[in-house]
Amino acid sequence: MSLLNFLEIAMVSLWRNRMRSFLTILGIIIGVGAVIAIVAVGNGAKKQVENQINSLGSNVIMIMPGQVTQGGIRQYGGQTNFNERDMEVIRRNCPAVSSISPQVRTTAQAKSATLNWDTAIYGVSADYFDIRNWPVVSGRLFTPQEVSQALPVCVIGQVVAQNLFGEADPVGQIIQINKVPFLVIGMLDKKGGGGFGGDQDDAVLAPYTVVMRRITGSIYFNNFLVSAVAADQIAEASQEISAALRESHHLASWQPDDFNLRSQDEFRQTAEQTSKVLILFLGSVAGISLVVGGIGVMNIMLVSVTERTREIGVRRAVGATRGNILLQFLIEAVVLCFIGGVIGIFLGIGASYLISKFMNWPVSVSSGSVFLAFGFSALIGIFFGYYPARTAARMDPIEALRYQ
Amino acid sequence: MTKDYHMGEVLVSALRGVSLEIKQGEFISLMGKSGSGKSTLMHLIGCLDRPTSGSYRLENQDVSTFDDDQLAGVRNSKIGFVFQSFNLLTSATALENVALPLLYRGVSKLERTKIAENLMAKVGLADRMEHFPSQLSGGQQQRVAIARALANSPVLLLADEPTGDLDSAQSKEIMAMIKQLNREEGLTVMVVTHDAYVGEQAKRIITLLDGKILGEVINEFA
Repeated sequence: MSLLNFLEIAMVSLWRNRMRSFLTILGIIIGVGAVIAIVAVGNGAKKQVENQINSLGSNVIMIMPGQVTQGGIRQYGGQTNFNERDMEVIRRNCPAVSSISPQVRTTAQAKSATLNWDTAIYGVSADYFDIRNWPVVSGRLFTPQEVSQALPVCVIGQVVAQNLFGEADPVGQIIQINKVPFLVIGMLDKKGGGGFGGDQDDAVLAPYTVVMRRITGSIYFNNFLVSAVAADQIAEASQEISAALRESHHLASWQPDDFNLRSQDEFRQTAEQTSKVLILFLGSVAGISLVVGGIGVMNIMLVSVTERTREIGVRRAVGATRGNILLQFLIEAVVLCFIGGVIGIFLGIGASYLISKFMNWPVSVSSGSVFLAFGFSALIGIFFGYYPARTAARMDPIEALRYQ
Repeated sequence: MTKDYHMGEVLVSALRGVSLEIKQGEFISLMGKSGSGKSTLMHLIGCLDRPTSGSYRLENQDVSTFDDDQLAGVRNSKIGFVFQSFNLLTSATALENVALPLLYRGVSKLERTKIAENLMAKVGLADRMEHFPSQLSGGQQQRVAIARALANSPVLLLADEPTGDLDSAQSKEIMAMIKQLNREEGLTVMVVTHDAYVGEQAKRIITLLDGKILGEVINEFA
């Protein structure tokens, strides 16, 4: 008797008991669907975070003032403050650093002749746009001269342009920020949502000199953005910056850094770690539901074996061996789970699609998760189908024929 | 042959030494009250079970030492069963039920269908092939069961109370069919019953009591 015969028996029997078959595999369908959808959503989120980190720029290191703590006690009354001198020190002593820009950040209302818009104001140097790989789509960027002369010029993000000037070209227009008029000299390329909240295109960027003198009135920078000469020089650059800043801040060797360095790679690693943990966590929840689905299959198969005792008796009487019976029920279970797996895969892909469409969340269905879910559901069929099948095979034909 | 059962702690001797020879082409009825051991004897003869002691030779083959799979093979090739409650697969059509024994013999689907169709025609149900058992009357179901029993061209047809669930008209019809199979095709038949009418159809009537053969009668009128 060939395997094909068993397959045929199984299919016919499952089809003639459609409702029971469907209820049996419901758990598998949901489990597989959940695995596929969750992995797809997780992968999508991972890709989005990656894009955001890449949008930060190239070979970027962020230097942030650190709150110095030692043994849990905050030292020296708080925060380091970066100034021009720090920038000069880094510029002069760090050959692995190709460019540096300070960042001064505030929020303010920007006004055009007719409209106004609350937005983020960044004071940066001319190098900033290099570091962040951020070109203009119209107009031009500001120059180092304009920075050193503290001229009130600015480039604006597309969200700001849209809200202040509509579809009109903003270049050459005047916007007022805290009653200071700025000449718009360029509109930046679209960059999209940032990884750290907020839309990167919702910003006005002006020379840090003018922002500090005429808007914030501060004498310190919020942080520095630095670009290393090459990707493999990031560690080198970090060390040089660290040494230069320690010296300039007169830190003794026993004192910890009063600043923090974060490279793009670190952001990437942190993000990858986070998304990995998330996928693992959600994936295992989905996996558990798949196992529970398998137990459901076993339950219903056991009931079905009892219900079909007579059938088993008849089959044995006309010449089926124990092996034949075992194989019949095992194949039924595997076919069931297989079908459940297929339906689940489509359901999962459908759910992923819906999530991406209605929740505006990127998803990517990976072939790996499809194969995994598929193989896993077939395995569940064998694993949870075996016990009921063995129960069926072990029945005594005489008892089985007498069963009412 | 003897057969003992364990019912919990109690040892039940269902057969206490039965010797019997059945010749090819015979029509035998096995009679007795319930508990007389006739079902047990039928199970042994039908190779559904093995004797506790003694031996059973079927066509010069000692099947009393066979293992489960070998017995399944013997049932598949030499025995045809007809049961009181028909025992058709409810989720299979009449035709599929008839073809069932051939499935376990590895006969191709085309061949199975052909043989089953011929047998359905033979039992007068050519127009009921695609019906499910629930769509057939008791007599029709039992005819399907007979066709199934014949599917593997058995050397012995074993009928266990074949008319127990039928009315008298259907009973007559079924017994006539079994008799005809014996007379015209030389099929060896053993009917197990406690119904006198059914038992009297056989040429040789064996009566069991308390696990032993009480007596044997040759029925001249059958």
